[in-house]
Amino acid sequence: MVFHSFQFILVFLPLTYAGYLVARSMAGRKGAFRFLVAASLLFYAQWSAAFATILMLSVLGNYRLGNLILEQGEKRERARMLLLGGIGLNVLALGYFKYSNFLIDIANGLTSAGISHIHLLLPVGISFYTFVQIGYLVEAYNGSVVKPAFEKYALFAAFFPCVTAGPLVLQREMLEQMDEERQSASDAQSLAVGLTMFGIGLFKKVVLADSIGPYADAVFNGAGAGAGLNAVTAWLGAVSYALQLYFDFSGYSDMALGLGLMFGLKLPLNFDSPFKATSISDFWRRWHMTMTRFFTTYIYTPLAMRGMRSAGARNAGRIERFILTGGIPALVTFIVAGIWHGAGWSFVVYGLIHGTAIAANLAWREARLPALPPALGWLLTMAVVVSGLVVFRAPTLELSGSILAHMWLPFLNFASASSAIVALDERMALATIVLLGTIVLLMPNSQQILHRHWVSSDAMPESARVAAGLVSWRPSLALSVGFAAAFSFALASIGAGTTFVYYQF
Amino acid sequence: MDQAADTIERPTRSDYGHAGRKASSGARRSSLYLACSFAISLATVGAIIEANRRYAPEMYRSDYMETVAEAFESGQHYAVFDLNINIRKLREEQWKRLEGKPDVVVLGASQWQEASANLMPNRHYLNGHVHRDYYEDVLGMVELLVRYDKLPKDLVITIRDRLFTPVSQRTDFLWLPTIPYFQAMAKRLSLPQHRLADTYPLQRPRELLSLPMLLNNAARWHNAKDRPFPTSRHSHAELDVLHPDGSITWSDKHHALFTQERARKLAIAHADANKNKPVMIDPRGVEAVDRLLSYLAVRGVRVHLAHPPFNPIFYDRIRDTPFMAGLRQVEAVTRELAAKHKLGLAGSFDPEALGCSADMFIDAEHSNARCLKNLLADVANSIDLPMVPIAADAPVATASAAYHSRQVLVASGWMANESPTPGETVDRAEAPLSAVTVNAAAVANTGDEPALPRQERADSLDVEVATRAAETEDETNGALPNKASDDDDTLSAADSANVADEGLPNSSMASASSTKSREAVTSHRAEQRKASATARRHARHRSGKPHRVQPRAASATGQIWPGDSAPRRR
Repeated sequence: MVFHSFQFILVFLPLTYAGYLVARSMAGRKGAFRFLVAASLLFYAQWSAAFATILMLSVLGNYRLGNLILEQGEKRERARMLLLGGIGLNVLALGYFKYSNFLIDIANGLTSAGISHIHLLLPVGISFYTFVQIGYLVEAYNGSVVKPAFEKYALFAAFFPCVTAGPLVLQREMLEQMDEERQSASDAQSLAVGLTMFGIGLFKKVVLADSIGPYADAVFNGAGAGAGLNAVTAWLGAVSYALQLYFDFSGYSDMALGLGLMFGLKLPLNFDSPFKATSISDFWRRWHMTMTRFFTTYIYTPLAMRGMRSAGARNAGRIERFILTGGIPALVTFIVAGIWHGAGWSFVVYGLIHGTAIAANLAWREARLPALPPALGWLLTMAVVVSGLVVFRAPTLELSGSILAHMWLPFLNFASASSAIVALDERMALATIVLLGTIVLLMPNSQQILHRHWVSSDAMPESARVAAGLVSWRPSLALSVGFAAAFSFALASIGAGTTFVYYQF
Repeated sequence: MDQAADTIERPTRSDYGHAGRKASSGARRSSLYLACSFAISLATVGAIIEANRRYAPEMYRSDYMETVAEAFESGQHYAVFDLNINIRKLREEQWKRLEGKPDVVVLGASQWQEASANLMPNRHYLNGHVHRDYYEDVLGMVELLVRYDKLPKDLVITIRDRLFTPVSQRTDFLWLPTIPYFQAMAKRLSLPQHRLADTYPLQRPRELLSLPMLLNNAARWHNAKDRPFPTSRHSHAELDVLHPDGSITWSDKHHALFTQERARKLAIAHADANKNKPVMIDPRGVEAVDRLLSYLAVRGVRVHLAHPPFNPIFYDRIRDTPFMAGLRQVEAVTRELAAKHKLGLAGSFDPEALGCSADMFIDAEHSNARCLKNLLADVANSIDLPMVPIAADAPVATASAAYHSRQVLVASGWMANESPTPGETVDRAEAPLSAVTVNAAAVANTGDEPALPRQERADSLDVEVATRAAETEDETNGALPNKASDDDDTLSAADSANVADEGLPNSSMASASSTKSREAVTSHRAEQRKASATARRHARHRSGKPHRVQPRAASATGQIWPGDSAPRRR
């Protein structure tokens, strides 16, 4: 059951919301949280009861581990052992489901052992709820949380709006809200804003992402099946995929934020107009922001700190210092982020591309070179982003190499395996790209449109108000007509069988 | 208003001051916004639903099936845009109005869609196929037959490849409207009911809500020269035609699409998409059919289990694949059911075994009337002749060989002499496989001579029925089902006989030992047809009526009654 399904919108959501109100009126916030935990498990169990069992075991195990770590108090070494053990167990479980076959491939490649693949189904969202809970263990070790009630912890780890594909929430930002006596807005206001945010996300997903997705699929699948490419089709496919992924994932994130708001819990932002970024660092501050925050907090910063200590200890020169404090941490962080997305060399290369680009960006600043003009910075950033997403999307490195070669080296005469060019309506693809490109570059984003009623647990930047311009939402009759029309249009455009791209991670 | 809306951040009900009033105002505005949004959304969605119902009534209005059934009741056909109507509901409405009990009812999937009453002319035949059937459909359709007191003497239950697919593994939804009928039959049989959550027919409302569907439906409605309507014509240039006997005739537009190259491509694509997909068999489905067979036996219904053939291109491409292994399992289950209930077996997944060639298919699994005739021939043989149960525990290859031998034997008439009389059943122990195969060898040595009387009888029946059909059609201006209309292509009887003799795979697949006698039969039949057609032409000439020919199916195939079929097995 995905958010953009009739089962969810017309059955699960209304029933869950009604149940939430009843539970809250009968048993207070605590009762409401318990109800939401049960609803979240039911939501998750729609994929598979076995998956739900794995989720429950993960929640129970991490809750117990976190409490054990918290109980250690001054016994830091023991707490540290528990933390490392907990992280190890989580990574082991994730690795088993996600990376077993990748590791088998590597072992087979190195030793010719001929080990057979294990038939495993990847539990939806396992990367997300595992990392969220690793974050909790680290925060428990750092002493930045107090022991939560189980229903609060379970809701933090398994809340249905974010259990399948994020946002990667921090325990403290969720628990603080849960600890409040009453939610910050009235039910009607929360519902109105939350539904509007959900509607915007739904529209992004089913109308925008699903309308451009077929063009990306035509190019990647066609080229994968052996059809020929040219520079135009390669570019159209690559840009289509970039837009599809953005509208798909940011649509999902908007829906998650809207749902959270309806149930009185604000979630962190995941996107902030990433295609307006004028540098690669800026891009990662705007794209999948909670993942960037997670990896920055738990990998990049510790590595940079360690590098700084190491550079200080050996009195390193400027270049060596940069390598230790910026270059290596950036590369390692993005390679890990790449592998987190999936098992395969494509994801390693994807991480490598972005790690290198970030390192280059940091080096540019370290060298105090003049800032590039915004337009040039934007072009360079988009070149890296779109190229990286080709590697991200293509099923093999050979295919991504072929597409990138057609994109960047069109003057070379490639020998095609097939005389047939991928079947793509180039005019329609271009028109769709222009339309969607205009939206991402010129329109305010969802949270900017809703800036009067800030939807996120993150602080609202002052720029949001300015960016919204005239497109500023408020609960008025005129906007209810616009919202209802867009919502109905999206509802009536829900296709069969499409899911969120990020569910595969 | 903006100020009021801004207070969403921190309303405090305990505060009776300015902020509290603003919060209250914000909540009121939000409530109003929600109410307006809800009302407008509901109206928009309702408008989309209503528009879809208007532009595709045959798809989305269950009461429309009553209109179609009423047309059938009055002897008319019904032309539709799309065959994917709620055919289960149509079956109910149609059978409810049916006069008398049918002799033969065929239950199965769309593989049967072109099997008209012309293929079984001396019987009150009803084609009860529904699209993409599962075991629930078998039970559901029998429930309708029971409910409206229409249980036939002979019931053909088709066991297709995916009939026993577990509910949780299905990705289509056309079967869902059968659930009320299935539940009723399940209750009769004391079977567990399906859960509502598994079987709620959500897909139809989903389609009704679909904007792309609305755009398609509206464009089709406004661009169409003719919209769905009751018709006395058997076929239509642009619309597919549903017939009262349960069969269909593709539109001329569709016929033009059905090239051999297209069928080949579809068969290959279907094979590639399915060859590695296992065929799943739900034991609950098998048990349900098992109990149904017992139920039918008590009520004196003679059941025949049938396998529909695949396109040879598809069949060749799935050899040695998991899908083929699945087919073997389905065959084994079918044999087991047949053996347990002492039922006749007809048809085969293997097209060659039925004499169906690639040019008889429009895709991987839908054959035309020529192939279906062969399939019905097997059924008809079972009806006329006693049934030979196949040992359930026989190895696949052996059982298959024995089964093939049976077809040879039945076609040659051996069974008529050697088997128990019609209606009697043969105990498994009394009909060992070895005996069947030995006798098959014996008959193979003696040739086809014993079959002649049957073929002659069938031949005369063929001519008689064709004549009757043509004459009745003249009288009713083509209003009867499956009769040639004015626009039907007009092969002469002699032509049709020639076409049939040249085109039928049965002829080309006949064994060398039987060629001589078959030629004699063919020649005899052609002579009879020519004479009959000439007589009819003379009669019409005298009466001043326009020239008419045999019904379409008969014209296309030449042979109607299966008794004149030559051996179809290798």
